[in-house]
Amino acid sequence: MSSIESEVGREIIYDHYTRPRHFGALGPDAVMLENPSCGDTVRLSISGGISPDDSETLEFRFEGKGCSISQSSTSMMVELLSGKSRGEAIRITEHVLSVFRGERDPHILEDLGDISALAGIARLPVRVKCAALAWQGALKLLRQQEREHSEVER
Amino acid sequence: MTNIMQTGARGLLKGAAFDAADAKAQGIREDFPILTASLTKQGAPLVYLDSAATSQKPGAVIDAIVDYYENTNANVYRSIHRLGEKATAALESGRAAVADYIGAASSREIIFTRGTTESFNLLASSLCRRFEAGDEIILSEMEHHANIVPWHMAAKNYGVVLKFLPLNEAGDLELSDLDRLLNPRTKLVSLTHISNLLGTINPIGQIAPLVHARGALLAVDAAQSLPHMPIDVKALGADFLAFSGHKAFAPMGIGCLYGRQELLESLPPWQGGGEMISAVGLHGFSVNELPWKFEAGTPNVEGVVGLEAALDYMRRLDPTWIDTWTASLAAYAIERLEAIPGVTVHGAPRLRAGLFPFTLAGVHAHDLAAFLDRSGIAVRAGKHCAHPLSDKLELLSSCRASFHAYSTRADADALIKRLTAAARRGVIV
Repeated sequence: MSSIESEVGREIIYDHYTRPRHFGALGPDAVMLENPSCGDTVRLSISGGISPDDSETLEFRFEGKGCSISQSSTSMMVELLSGKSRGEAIRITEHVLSVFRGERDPHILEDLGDISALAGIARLPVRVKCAALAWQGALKLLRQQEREHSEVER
Repeated sequence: MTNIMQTGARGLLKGAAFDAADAKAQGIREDFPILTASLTKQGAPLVYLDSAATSQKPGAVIDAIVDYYENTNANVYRSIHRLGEKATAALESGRAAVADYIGAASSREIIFTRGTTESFNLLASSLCRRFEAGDEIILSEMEHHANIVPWHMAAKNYGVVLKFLPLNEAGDLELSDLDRLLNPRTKLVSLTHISNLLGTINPIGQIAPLVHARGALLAVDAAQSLPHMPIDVKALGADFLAFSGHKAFAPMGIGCLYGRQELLESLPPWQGGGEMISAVGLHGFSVNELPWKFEAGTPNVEGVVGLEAALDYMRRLDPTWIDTWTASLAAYAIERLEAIPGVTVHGAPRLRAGLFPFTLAGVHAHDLAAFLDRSGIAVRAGKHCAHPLSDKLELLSSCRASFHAYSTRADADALIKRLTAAARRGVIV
């Protein structure tokens, strides 16, 4: 498994940092996320995912400024979650955050592609905030969307 | 514009004097167990350049704490037995030591707190109750959060108005700005002695008479200065002074608020309970006298014991020497770092303590700090609990190197060497 401490893991992080995926062209509802301790920022927009039966897929885009961990983690996130349904995106995000927090075995990230490069982040507690910034923001937005749609259905 | 000039600007060590001080610092390292242990994978010694965040602890302080727990530990004042008396004596001995160290008139002027932040919270909560809505407090743009946020809270609770002294481009305050901001509504000026980000040393001794001449009080944030230079509250003209022990070789969780006795006597108590009470009834209580009036709950006796040992150790090293050495080492490092393409050392204050912020073009400070850490070099990265200053300097985030008495030329050279490598590599992960 690639990990942040390995050369391969660093290459993956470097690649996303220097060539961020789904970058720019944000939707009108883009939300600003900020890590107050270092000033890193991510602007995140999520479109799609509005059908009540959750069959429609989501599209993520972002812009940001910050360290390699916060920006590559966001790039990996938008790549991974784009094309997923809302329910699936929430489930994956919860998984990833639990690994970042060190609550679950990092091996569960192995099937999720590049994000496994950040599997070892729990061992670097001061960088967890950087890695989790976009994921926490996305989770909040997706749950809010979920609530709004379930209210519409009722 | 009139500049606030520093009197008695100290000279920096060069040549043989620098070498001699470096040799002394290498000897001092031996007093610190953590600096002699091999912490890195390669077995290299720790290059600790984060002393402004917290200093390492000498064996003398660690031993004093162990001795306290092995031979003294008891609750203070209320335990009527020999250990209780010993613990109480240890607490009051520490208070007298602090009073003596900072030149206070009496140990009644020394209030133990958890640190600088708690000292300012105490002061803001208690002092501002005496102020009226519209009264003004002057701070500066270089304050760290401990000397901003408690005043923001007081502004909200009591309607006092905060005004901020600006910095010039070099990172110094201007006397004319202070003159412009001071007015009959100014009740307090609260300034840092040393900026925790730029290392600027503010000439508090010259500012005090200006403040007092306008009928205001002066509070000094000595979080960064007490650990590095002699502090005399009378020479500074400070009505209040706050510091933390942990940056000055003492344990975490112990600090002080100094206040002139007549001022402290006039202030209402802050927290309730414990030794701050003289009598309690079902319908009220009466407040104890100074200094216990401001010390609710069981105090951090271990911390006080460690603080006394730390001040004793610092006095033996000579705080004037610590100031000169750390500033000389910073100047040595800055000169070489500025020669590395892409490296910027920010600010150029007239008088700089042994700390400075730097950035490497194209590399985020967190990434740079992580890169340095891989070679066992510890620096701080981020906004340094000084968001307004960081924003003013347009630093999304920066690294900070800070020295103490145990820092050596080898530490500075390690930083220079790794930054040279970092600059060659370009973007770093």
